[in-house]
Amino acid sequence: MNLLEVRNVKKTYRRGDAPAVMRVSFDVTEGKILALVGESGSGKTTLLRILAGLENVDSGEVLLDGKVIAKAGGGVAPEKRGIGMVFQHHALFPHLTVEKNVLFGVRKLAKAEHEVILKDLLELVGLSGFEKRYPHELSGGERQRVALARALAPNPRLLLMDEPFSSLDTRLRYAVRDETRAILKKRGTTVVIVTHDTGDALAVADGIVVLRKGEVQQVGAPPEVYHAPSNAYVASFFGSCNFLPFHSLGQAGGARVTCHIGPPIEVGGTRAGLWVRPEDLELVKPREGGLVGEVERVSFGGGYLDVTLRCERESGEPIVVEVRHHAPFMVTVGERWEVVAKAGRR
Amino acid sequence: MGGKTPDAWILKSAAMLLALLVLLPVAVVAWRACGDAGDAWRAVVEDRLWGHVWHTLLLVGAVIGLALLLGVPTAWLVSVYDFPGRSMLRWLLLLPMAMPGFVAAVAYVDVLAGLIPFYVWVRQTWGIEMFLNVQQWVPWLFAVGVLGSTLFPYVFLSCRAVFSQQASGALESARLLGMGGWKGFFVVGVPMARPALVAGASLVAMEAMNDYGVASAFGLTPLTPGIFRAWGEGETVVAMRLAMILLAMLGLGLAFERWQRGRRKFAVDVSEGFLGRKKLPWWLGWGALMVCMVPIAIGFMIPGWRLASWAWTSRETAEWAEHLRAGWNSFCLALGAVLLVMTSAFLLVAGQRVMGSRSILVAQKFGLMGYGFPSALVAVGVGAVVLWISRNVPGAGWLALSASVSGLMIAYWVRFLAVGIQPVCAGFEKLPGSLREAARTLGERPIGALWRVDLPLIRPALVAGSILCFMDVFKELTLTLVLRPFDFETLATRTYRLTDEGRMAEAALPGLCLVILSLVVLIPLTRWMKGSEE
Repeated sequence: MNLLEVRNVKKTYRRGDAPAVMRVSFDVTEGKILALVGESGSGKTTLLRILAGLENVDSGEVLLDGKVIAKAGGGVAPEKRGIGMVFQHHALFPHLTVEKNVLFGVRKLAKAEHEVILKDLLELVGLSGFEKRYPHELSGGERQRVALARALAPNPRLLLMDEPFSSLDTRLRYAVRDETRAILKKRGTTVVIVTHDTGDALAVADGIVVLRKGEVQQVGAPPEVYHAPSNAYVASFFGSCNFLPFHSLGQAGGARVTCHIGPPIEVGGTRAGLWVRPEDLELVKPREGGLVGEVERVSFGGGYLDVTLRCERESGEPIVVEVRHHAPFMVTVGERWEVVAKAGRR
Repeated sequence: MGGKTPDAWILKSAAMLLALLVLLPVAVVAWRACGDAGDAWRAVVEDRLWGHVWHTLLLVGAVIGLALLLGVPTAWLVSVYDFPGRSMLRWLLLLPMAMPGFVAAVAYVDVLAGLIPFYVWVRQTWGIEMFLNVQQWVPWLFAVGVLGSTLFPYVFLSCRAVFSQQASGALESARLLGMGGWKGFFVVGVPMARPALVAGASLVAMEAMNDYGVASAFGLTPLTPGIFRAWGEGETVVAMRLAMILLAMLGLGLAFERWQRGRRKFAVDVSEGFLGRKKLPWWLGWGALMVCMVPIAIGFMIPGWRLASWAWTSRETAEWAEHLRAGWNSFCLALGAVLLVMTSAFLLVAGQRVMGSRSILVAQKFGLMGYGFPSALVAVGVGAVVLWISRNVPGAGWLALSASVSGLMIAYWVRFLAVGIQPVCAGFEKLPGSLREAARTLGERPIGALWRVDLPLIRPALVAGSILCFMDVFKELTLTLVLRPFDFETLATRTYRLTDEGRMAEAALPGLCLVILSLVVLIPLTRWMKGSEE
């Protein structure tokens, strides 16, 4: 059942400006985690604020549980929506302890209930014993978890999270990310997450909405969005991508890099070709007629090398290809290699 | 933000009403100034008007000059050089702020009386012409000296902030490029400090224009005492017209400042860096210390010491009961004004923040304007209303008293609303809006969010604003003199009246109380300012 339905929503901040979001529609099924991804300025945060009731829509509707909560000319006030939110920088109340922060939204319940809620939630986020601490006495990861507990305390129908992991450093981030997903899944909470980090979206979400300049580019499950992007923008947004024009692929050698690789073919005018991810390519000793190039740049990435090659062609511009190279041999700048599709991906 | 609250229009209309109240004194004065003044006005124009205007210009100009002379070099010395006593001077140089001009004047007025042998000597040596000149200009010297040396900390503070923080990067580079020391001062320091310098100087100018106590203690007649004289003589329309002239001069001054600043704006990135101070050789170091001690001595130590010794010798004969009553009155007035100012400041700022309403923002701007109105104008404007009420509303007696006290409150409120608004605004600016939004997604209404989240968090700002406002009202003389009920004295008016009657030794005690109270307030306040700078 669809818990949240967004129908053709449009929002413009100032008259004359381009709309921050327009023609946006998507649904969220109960218990699922949906990620809104896009660059800054894509309208994802605006959309989240619309869901929370912190902004009004110009047209379109938002339905929660089948009831309209946002429409042109106003809607349900944020405090009456039963939607929780985790803010980008957590927005913990600095003058209140962890306990009072978590219980902020359930003041009207009985005292006995407070204790139960507090105990359950702190246990859930692994912060039992932190009740009396103030936000400034917590680490970044702990603050994030308090913010989550606070938002979950009133038992919201829907939880919104605005870049919840962006203020954490890389190492902490992966741990908190997995932890958060586990917590949310355990409670069966329906969630909309906003992030600019595709890694976060792919790892945490059940479904992804890709936004660009306020418009939806694609809606789908993570593997679908990654492996079958609906257009070039989505393809390159989820990782670097090589564009290999068809007519450059030589006659015999070209056949080796074919449509078997998976990504759809972009056919736009004369510029037809293939979008290929670097990890789907590998380097072999150059042979006659293949896509051969000179190594321009090698950067060491730990378990792999990111190699950039410049392939000269008889006609037209040279093609620059990026390859994520895992083979045991080293590659150095100036060498010549041939690019082929990875075995098994043909 | 999702739906209008029913309280919105109440808050908005309250804010607009407050804004109108700020403009009330100006409106009254402008309206009454158009009335018929008859011969009195003609007499004033022929007789005194030019003198008032000229004296105002001269006094304000000279005081600004002295304040710059004292404030800028001391700020430069304590920011750029290292010498004995430097870190202590950083706050010692603020001490004169705790010495209201009219209190310092108490200590200097009788020095003037001691100059009679000097006058005699001048007359015998250089003749009557020279004697008249000297006798005319010596009081000026004292008045300018007293005002300049008690007001220069405004310039010092704003320049110090520039020299030791904003400009430190530029000064460092100038030094590396071979422009150290005083060359750096003129080529980098002064130009970069210009906006701060102008800001500090405008505050000094405003205070000097509003001064009544010092000028009248030394027998000068710029506009402010002139307005009071006319008011005291019952020439209401004349007083109103003079007040309009003062307002016009202030407006012209402001316009001139805007015009000469032109489009120059300084984009200064606050550098993290901290200027490595140059250590002065011992003899120059002691010289710097001496230079910095001069304004402290004139503006604080000499008058402070004289007041203290007078207060000590007169302790047995002092009218303690009178002093205490005056102190209690000052305290009550200040407390009332603080409550009034801070409540409306909070209402104006919070209302604007929560509702994002334009009309409240406009009201806020009006509120800030009150600080720029001349005290004398506010005094006669409110005074005229109070007078009208006590004459036309039956029931005189206690009603007249309460009209007078509430008139005084309104006048304080008009003048010092900005003192409350500014810290509250600054307090709100530091709060991320997401805190309020978080409260709302957790089920709080806008008012509830304000109450449970914003109010506790801006408490330090409210406290700071209250302290500043309390101190301003406690020391206030000009408005209080005109608007106080009959036979009602505050410490400030008592100090002034006793000085005026030539009873300096008795004036010392209430004067000293004002200084000590200001000191008590000044010390935590500078701490707090330092804390918020970091």
